[in-house]
Amino acid sequence: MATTESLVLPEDWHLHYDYVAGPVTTRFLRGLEQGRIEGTRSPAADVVYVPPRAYCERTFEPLDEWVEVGPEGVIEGATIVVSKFEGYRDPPFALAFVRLDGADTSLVNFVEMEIGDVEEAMARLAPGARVRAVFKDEREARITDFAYELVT
Amino acid sequence: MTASGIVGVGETPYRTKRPDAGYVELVQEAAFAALRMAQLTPADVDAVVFAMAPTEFAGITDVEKQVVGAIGAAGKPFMRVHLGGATGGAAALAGHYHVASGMYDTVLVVGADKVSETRDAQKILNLIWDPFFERGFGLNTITMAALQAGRHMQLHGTTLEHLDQVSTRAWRRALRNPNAHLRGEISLEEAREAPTISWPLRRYDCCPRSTGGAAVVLSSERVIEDRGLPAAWVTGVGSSGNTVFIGDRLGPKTLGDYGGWPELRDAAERAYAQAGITRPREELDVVESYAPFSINELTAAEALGLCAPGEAGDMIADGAFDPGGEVELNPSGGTLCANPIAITGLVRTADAALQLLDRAGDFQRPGAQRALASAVGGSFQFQTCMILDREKPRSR
Repeated sequence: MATTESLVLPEDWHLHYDYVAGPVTTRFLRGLEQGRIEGTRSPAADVVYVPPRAYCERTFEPLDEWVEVGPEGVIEGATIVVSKFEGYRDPPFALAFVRLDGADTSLVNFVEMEIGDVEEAMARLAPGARVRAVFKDEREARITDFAYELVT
Repeated sequence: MTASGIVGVGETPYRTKRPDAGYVELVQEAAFAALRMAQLTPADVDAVVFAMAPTEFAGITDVEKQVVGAIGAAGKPFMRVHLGGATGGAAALAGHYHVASGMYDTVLVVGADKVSETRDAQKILNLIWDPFFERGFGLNTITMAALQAGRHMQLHGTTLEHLDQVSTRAWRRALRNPNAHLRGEISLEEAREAPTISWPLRRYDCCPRSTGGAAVVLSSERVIEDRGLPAAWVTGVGSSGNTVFIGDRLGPKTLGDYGGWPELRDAAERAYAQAGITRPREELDVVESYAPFSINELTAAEALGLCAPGEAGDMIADGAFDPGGEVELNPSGGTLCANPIAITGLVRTADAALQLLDRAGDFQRPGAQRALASAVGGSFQFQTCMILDREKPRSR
């Protein structure tokens, strides 16, 4: 490698997007606004999808049957983020994929809990642990309108 | 179909930054080194496959357009392949398809990445998630792997020490590879006590952000035999994709459990069938698997059938896949020791080919006959696999 250091040109990107949700995601997010978590059911595959899908990913048939799931469910996978990442919540925080009662797939969200010792907290988040989706009072039709809490 | 083989390999050193080289220069460095090894010139190249993943790291959108003139691709077929982390693996497959189809005799597969050109790499890796359902939770490649590690631990009793055995051994193997970005002797205690990033992954469980370039040249049987070129013949290829939703890969109705890499198992089974491999641990000498996190060396070894699910942790800790073992896993140090994302899958292919060309230097496995390279991308949803052999495949 050469020893001459190159000139460095700094630049920042600031981009704004307006993401269109589409009808299926819109219905789901409007449901959250009302304090309800809904999925779409594929009768042929006998699978309830959360997040909801417009088409079954197994049979590829359009889905129009909506079912309410939760509010309780079971943790299938979890982690606790300990290091700070720019733009994310201050650590430590827990997140988990939870299979809500009545659903066949898992939905990720924060688990609101006291985190002292990380390993001890992770033991409480082991797959199989039960949680409940708890809605905020002020909702804005976003996935963060609720978070999970451990059912004790 | 015609047989194809890798006749040239070019790699730059992998480092956090390359203050002496712009993006195009990295690509040139790798491309021309590969052609030199193959004793070919840019004029011998019939088509170019370019490996480039998200261009937000390098900061020039669709940067592939910048390299065409610089590597002698003007006037030739040129295509960019992008499959997230699996980009380099998919590009190598595409290069093979170009040659195996009989359409082109010599194809250059090349790419470069500058993951450290931005300080915001993990922000970019968060932007790969859906904005409505998943992006807001700090998901990135590290948390994605942490979730897999936690699940593997639960399913198989894998421990933090198993992970530390992976990282300390990878850093030690990388001491033999001058291109490796990270290398050295780390004690198990240092690995254990390193700061946690996302439980259970600590500092040494995670790959670095690397800058570098890589290339392989694939030629047809006709060119290889006419010119008498040494070659690492492609005897089997496979790839497999799965749903983006991690949540669909969990639970009783799972589409393949997220605690392992069933997509890699599928890809490998296809490649093994073509290559006639039935006992991979005995028949393969070298495996270069795309394992950006310590846990992935376990999930890869298990998916590739080098051991049964849940066995890899103990076997790695026992040194079963170390240099001199029945099969060597990531003798280069692997992705834990260098991850220039867009080309990491190509680096795996290149480092596997080097073994069969007797060009791997201090990490050469003497007399290696057969090697496998894999790559993973997306939400651990894409896997590619290529098997290379010193011997030309039987015609089929």
